[in-house]
This record gives sequence, structure tokens and C-alpha cells, in this order.
Amino acid sequence: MAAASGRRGAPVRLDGLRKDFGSSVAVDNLSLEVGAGEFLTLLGPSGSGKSTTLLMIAGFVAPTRGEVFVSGKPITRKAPHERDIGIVFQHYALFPHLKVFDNVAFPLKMRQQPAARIAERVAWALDLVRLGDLGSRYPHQLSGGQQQRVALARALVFEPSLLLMDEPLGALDRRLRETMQGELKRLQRALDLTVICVTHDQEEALTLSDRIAVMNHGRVEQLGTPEELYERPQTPFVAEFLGESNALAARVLRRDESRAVVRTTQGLDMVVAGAAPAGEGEVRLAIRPERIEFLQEGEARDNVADAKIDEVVYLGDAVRYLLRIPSGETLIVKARSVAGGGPRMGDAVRVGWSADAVLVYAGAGAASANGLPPPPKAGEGRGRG
Amino acid sequence: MSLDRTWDSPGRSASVVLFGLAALVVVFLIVPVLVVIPISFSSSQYLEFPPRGFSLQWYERFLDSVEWTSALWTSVQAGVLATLLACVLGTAAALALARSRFPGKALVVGFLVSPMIVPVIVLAIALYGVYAKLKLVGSLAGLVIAHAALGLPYVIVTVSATLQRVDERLEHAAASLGATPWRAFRHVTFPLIRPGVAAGALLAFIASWDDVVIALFISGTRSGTLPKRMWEGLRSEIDPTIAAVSTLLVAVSLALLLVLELLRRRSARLTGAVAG
Repeated sequence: MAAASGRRGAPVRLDGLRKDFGSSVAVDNLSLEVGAGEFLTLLGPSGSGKSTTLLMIAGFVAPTRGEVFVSGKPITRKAPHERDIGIVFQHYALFPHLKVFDNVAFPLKMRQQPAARIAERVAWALDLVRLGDLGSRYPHQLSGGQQQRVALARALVFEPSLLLMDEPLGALDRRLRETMQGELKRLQRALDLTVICVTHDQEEALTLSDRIAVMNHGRVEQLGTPEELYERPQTPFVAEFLGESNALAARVLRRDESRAVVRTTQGLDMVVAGAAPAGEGEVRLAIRPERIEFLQEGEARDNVADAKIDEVVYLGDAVRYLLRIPSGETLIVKARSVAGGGPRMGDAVRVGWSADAVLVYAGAGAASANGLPPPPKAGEGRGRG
Repeated sequence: MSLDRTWDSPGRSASVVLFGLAALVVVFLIVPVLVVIPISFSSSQYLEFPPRGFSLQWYERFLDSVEWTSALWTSVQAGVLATLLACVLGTAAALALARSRFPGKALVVGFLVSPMIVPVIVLAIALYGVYAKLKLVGSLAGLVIAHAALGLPYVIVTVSATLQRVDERLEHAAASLGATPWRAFRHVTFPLIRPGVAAGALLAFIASWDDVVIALFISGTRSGTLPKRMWEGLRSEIDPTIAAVSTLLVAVSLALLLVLELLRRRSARLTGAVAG
């Protein structure tokens, strides 16, 4: 790698950004700060406002209200070409009529740099993404991974103060994604880049980001490190969107300072840790599939239930089970795969989970996170608390 | 299966009939045009078919006559200038239509392509009325503007079609890399839509080159185009010079259509490569 530039990424601040499209609100009062050299991902389903936010930062969509600051200076009224922001587009948007060299040289030519300087910088950028010898190819002669690298080189060659990425790895196959994730992270650290990335892919978000902002309906549901978001999701939406969750609706039966007993709509009682939301009201529960364990004879947990295995999906390193418990609830359980096989379809098993595996949220209604229809009411069976 | 067969392939005898019919139509349409070619090389003094001998006298007559050559020059000037004007305006209009949303867009599209739909005689009469007031009748400028209007729809249609295949993100990418809107157009959009612009230009040129109705109304007696001169020539003297001019006109149109087809293939190959 040639000498890296002396410039480091700039801090970015979004202040009360809002975008209305007609009567619908695409982005609603969005404020967040991205530190210099930080990798922040906007994660959310389509229609959550993450792409609109990116377009507002880039300058292709004018916010209805609010301001974008880069290095403390407002840029909201600048045209896109004056913003000094590198963008890696979805599907890369390489110029098909220009060779790789000219694609990467494009931003320097637009800045009227002398030819010698351009040659030197392009060589640096292509080396950076390990494509030093492909300068004379056309984009359509490259593989998807190589096109991705050219897009990255082109966005970095003019040393922008900020790098935006739109679903950067979405079009690559799985192996290539993993390699590119590593490369991206390495580059971002080496060049001290500030990166704002937009994706709907939770795995991409978890592996790349310093912090993730989970977006829904134009708002940030939760902002935090990948670990915080996964371990302590603050809303059912985050619990369901990031990783898998068993979502259940329940009512608080009784409580003390450290625990509470709740009963699900289908009549499964369970102990939950922590201060459940105050009041007698209804609550929503979320349990990570990997926090539910199969129990041997005589083993005990805070919550135990008998179950029948309805479905087994072998994932390689893990196995995903769909269980039905006598009360009629359906539970997803994920366990590490064992040589020789674990429980099989139709087996009667006993499962258990600790009180602190249950995340409790105020509010009524079960959100079906895993996309399953609500299980049919079956019998009057009752789980043990 | 047998039902599928009857639908899919109408059988050998049916396709022979179809081919025969198509050939008849082509012969019926093309042969009258082709007849003028041998006549133009005739050694006779009159329009006669088949010609008795071969000579280039009518081509010589054409090139020696100031009337004819000045008409040719007017046609070329009007064609080239009108094409340029139509290309600039048409490309700009196609860009605006493709890249922005505004109320009444469909109406604007209809208005812009109307010269292709409105009968030319109506356009000619209307232009004559307006030009008379503006004192543009008989001027080259007036002819260029009228022919540009005639060619504009072709440019808009072909450029719009090409633009649809150009990802708007390429323009965004150019802007994010520091290109002003003009430079983004010059370095990214234009090279990608060039085949469409070229095709539109050829069609616009042919529209001007072939026009006789508008030229009859608004070009002056001295500064007529080639088709207009032919029209007038046919009414007064009938000699094979007309056949020579006709052959020239057909040859130019044919050459341009050939170029158009080559362009189309090239662009198909390029976009195929982009997609691949």
C-alpha cells in the first residue's frame, strides 16, 4: 500500500432531519452524531427512511427540515458536487464507457488535478483495493467483487471527508461478502474513515459497524453498538429485526422488586427478570431462540415447558427447531448442532430458559417478528411457571 | 400438443404464402422507386423506360445548372442546421422529461411530438401564417426552424428511449465525485446516450431532406430546397434531370438508413456489454 493520506474522516451531525413526500413522512426528526473515524450503519427494512437519509446527506434529496453538518459546518444548502462526500452506490454505478483507470481518475479530473498527480493517486487507490493491474479493463470485464473494489477506489481517491455506502455488499455472493467485509473494515481503520452505511442486512451491519442505528418508520428505534442492540434491544422491533426472536403477548400476573410472573395470551406462565413495566398492563415478550435450551431429565431452569418438535431445519453449525408447547404457543429454538444429531421431528422434549432471557416491553399486541402467523389456539393446556 | 403446434408454427405451406405476400408488397412499394434509377442514366432526351442507352448526361446537366446546385446547397444547409438545432433542443427536452417530475408532463410530451402526428400540410399552413407576420418567409432561418420542429420529435423519442437504459445513479455518482451538472452530462450522460442522439439526428436530417410540403409554403422562389425545385421542375419541363436528382435523393436516404442500422447494432452491442 502506498503512503496513506494525512487526512482523516470528519465528524458528522444530523440535526432534526425531516423529509415529507406529499403527506407521508419518510424521515421524521432524525438527529444523530457520527464521530470522526466511526463506522455507523443505518439498518432498517425498506421504507424505514434509511435510504432517504443517505440521499439527504449526499445532497440528492433536499430535507424538508433540519440540517446536516460535516466537520461542524452546515452543508445542507450545498449542491452534491460541492459536498466532498465519497459514495459507494448499490450496484456500484461505475461508468460503463470508461476504463477502470478513468473511472478512478474521474473525481481528480473534475478537480482539475495535473496528469502526473492523477496517475499517482489512481495507482495509490487501485493498490489500496488490490486491483493495481486492472486499470485498462472496462467495468463489464470485471467480476462483481472487482467492480465493488473499483467503486470503493473511486470513492476514496479524492480523500473525501465522509464515505457513504448504500447496500455495499448486497450484490456479492456469500464468500465474497465475507472477504469484502474484512477488507472494508481494514481500509476504514487504516484510513481513519468516517463511514455511514445503509443496509437492510443485519449480518453486514453487525460485522462492519462501530455503532448501528436501527430505523423504522423514519425514526431511529435504537442507536448503539452491535452488542448492545443484540443483547439489550430496547423495543420489540429491534429485538425482532436484529436476529431472531420469539415474540409473545402477555399480561403481568404479579411482581416483586426483581421478578415478575406473566401469562401469555395462550396461557403460558413464565417468570421474567428485572422490573417489568409498571402497572397491571399488557406487555410484549421477546426471547432469543438460542437462549432456550433442551433440558435433560432432572435439569431445572426458571421457566420450563414440555414441547413437541414440529420442524427441524439443519443450518450446518446450528439447528433451528420449531416447537409446539401444550398451551398452543410456537417457539423457535436454536441449538448448536451435535454430531450424531439432536432431537428429531415429532420428539417430545423438555425446554427451559432463564428469567433474564425474557425481554419485556410495555404495550399490547404481539408483533410477529419471525414472520409466522399467530399460532392457532390449541386446547387448554397450561405451561408451568 | 397438436393444438400447440397449430398455434406456434403455421406449417410450411402457410409460411410460403406469407413470404410470397410480403415479397409482393415489397415489389409493389419499391419497384416504382427503382424505375427512376435506370431512367436517370438514359441517353435519350425524354423520360422513357426502358432506356435505350447509357449516359451520365443528366447528372452533368444537374451539376451544370445553378438552379439545381443552389437548391441542393439549400437542402444541405437546411438539413444540417435543422438537425443540429433539433438535436440540441431534443436532447435537452428528453433529459428534462426523463429526469424530472412535474405536473402536465404527458401534455408537454404530446405537444413536443405533435409535429410527427399533425398532418404536415396543417403545420405548413400554420407556419406560413406565423412566418408571414415575422417576415421569415423565404429565409433560410425560417426554413431551418420549421425543419427543426419537424425533426424534434424523432430526437426526443430516440434519446428518451436511450436515456431509459442509463441508470440515474451514474449521474448521481458523477455529481458525488465532483462533477457539475454540465460536466456530468458531458462526461457521463452524453457518451452513454450518443447512439440515441445520432439515430435521432439521422432521422431529423431525413425529415428535413425529404420535406416538400413545408418548403413549398415557406421557402422563397429563389432559395428553394431540392424537393421543392423538383416539384416545380415537374410542372414545367419534364426531362430526365428529375430522375437523376431522384436517384441522388434516394441514395442519400438509403445511405443514412444504413448508417442508422449500423448505429443501432453497435448500441445494442454496447448496452449488452454493460448489462453483462
